Amino acid sequence: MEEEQKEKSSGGSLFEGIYDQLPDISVKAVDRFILICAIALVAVILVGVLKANHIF
Amino acid sequence: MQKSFNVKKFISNNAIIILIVLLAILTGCTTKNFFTITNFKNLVVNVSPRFIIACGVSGCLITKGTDLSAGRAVGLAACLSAMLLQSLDYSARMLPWVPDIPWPIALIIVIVIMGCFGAVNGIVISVLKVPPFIATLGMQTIIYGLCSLITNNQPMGGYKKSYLTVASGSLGPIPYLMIFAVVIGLYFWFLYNKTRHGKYMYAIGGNENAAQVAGVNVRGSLIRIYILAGCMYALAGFLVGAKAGGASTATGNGYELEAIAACTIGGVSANGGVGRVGGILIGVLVFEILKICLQFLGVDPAYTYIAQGLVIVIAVALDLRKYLQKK
Repeated sequence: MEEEQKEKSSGGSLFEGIYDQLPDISVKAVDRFILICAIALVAVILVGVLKANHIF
Repeated sequence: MQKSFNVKKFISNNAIIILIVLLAILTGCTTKNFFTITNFKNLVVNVSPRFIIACGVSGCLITKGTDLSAGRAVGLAACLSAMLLQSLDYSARMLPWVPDIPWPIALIIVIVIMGCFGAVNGIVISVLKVPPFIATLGMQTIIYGLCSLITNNQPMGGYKKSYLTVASGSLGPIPYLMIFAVVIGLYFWFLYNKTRHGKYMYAIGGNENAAQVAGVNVRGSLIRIYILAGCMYALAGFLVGAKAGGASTATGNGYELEAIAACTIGGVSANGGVGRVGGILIGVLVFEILKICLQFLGVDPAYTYIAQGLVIVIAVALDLRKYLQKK
């Protein structure tokens, strides 16, 4: 019956269950990743602004 | 019992918005003409068609699907609008036999055509059970091919004045584009929050099998969602064409990724079942304000692309964080 129900559902998406398919990650690890990305974002903007002003 | 304000939670839930607000303040303080009515109007005019596209895509995302054909659909809609609304005395008219049509009629024709493409998407996904990623990826390429065929890969222009006024005109201080976006926003808010269709949509996104067992017509709902999305791309393409004063096969290229990213930033979960119209608007604003700030700061467009990519990654990571916390 479970298989039938699975078949009945629409094709699914690239994203369906994507979080369940990830390996066990802790919230702390995700927090660290977000922090790194945020620092990278600030760095990219800073480099872009400095280059636009011909500082380097 | 009063709930204490959790600063850490507030910052983590709104990290991107806080960053962009800080960037906007910094840009305003260091450049001239940032906090001006002209710049605000420019922001509104750029945000409006993107918000309409994001509203269309949001239904697909909330039901755990996606629509990669959005950008090309916008391009085709812009080209179709161009073909129907070129000036009668324009020498390079694509369809010389088309009579002088009022722009609302042309808009309805384009909406019907793009709604049909949406219906095909919906049927392929809900009836043939093709994953939305694959179905809409195929449709994206088909639409691009059709657009190339009907336009002969020639850019189009020479629009009627009445069509150009749709994008450039305003009702007092309010641009017509903003009025379109506000009406669509209100419609989608009503649809998502006050109608059965909205409830079914969230139910399907939360748990499709449970929704089916509870008596929701999942097939019908999905088809309606994709038809509505197609209609929104038609409207957005119509407005984008009017704003640009021209259209080509390149129009709308990449718009789907921006729309999906804006929805994700605005809280539409990649896991389905969650999403608000207000959040979608915030997501679109975040992207546009980021672009405008970096433009004002004189930053090379290449850095803007990198920054946008990082914003998308942060948005998805924040969504994952919310999911892990719930788990």
